Amino acid sequence: MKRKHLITGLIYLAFGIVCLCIEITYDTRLDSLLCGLCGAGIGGGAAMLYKYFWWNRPENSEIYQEKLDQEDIDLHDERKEQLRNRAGRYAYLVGMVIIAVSIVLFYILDALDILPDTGWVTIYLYGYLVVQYILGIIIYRWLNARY
Amino acid sequence: MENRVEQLRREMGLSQGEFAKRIRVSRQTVSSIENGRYNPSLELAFTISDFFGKPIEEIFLHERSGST
Repeated sequence: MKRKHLITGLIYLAFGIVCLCIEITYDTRLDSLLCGLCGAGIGGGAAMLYKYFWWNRPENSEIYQEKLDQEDIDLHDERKEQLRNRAGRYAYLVGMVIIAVSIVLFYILDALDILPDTGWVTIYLYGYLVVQYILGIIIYRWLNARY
Repeated sequence: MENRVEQLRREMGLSQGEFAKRIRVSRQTVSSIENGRYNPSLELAFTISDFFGKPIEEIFLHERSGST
């Protein structure tokens, strides 16, 4: 593995440790967020460092090269690329439906006072739905003109 | 689209995995091509044609429609 993977792992680890120190030292309302960032940083960084030292062992170099080669093939394989694009489209459509249903659901819950003061959630979701829809059209037109 | 990819591959004594590696695609793509579930792009079809040393028309059997 390249040295940049080692540096990235160390940065993640350092970030996680800094978050841990802040969380322990200060009592803030962001304790949960800091705990999450700490876990992600330390866990992710430790995993990256383990992978770096594992794959840099001489006995693993040939296996690592084969792994890289296969990853390169899978990344550029035309059929897999098509399937990834199709999966993205389906996920996009399902996401739009979920947001639309959520808008109605939150509106009803707010109106019935089951979840009061969530009108802002409805407005945010509606804005997000509109932006996502328009962005899809804009990106499609850009791609259509380019290719 | 029917094709002779599997036949030609077996004649060369290659497994799907070995053939896939040689033409730089995944084994699943080779399997899908051989089963007729996936039609390769023009570029990949030419790569396969060059690999076997045969014209594309001899490998991929396209039934032309009879409309004029």
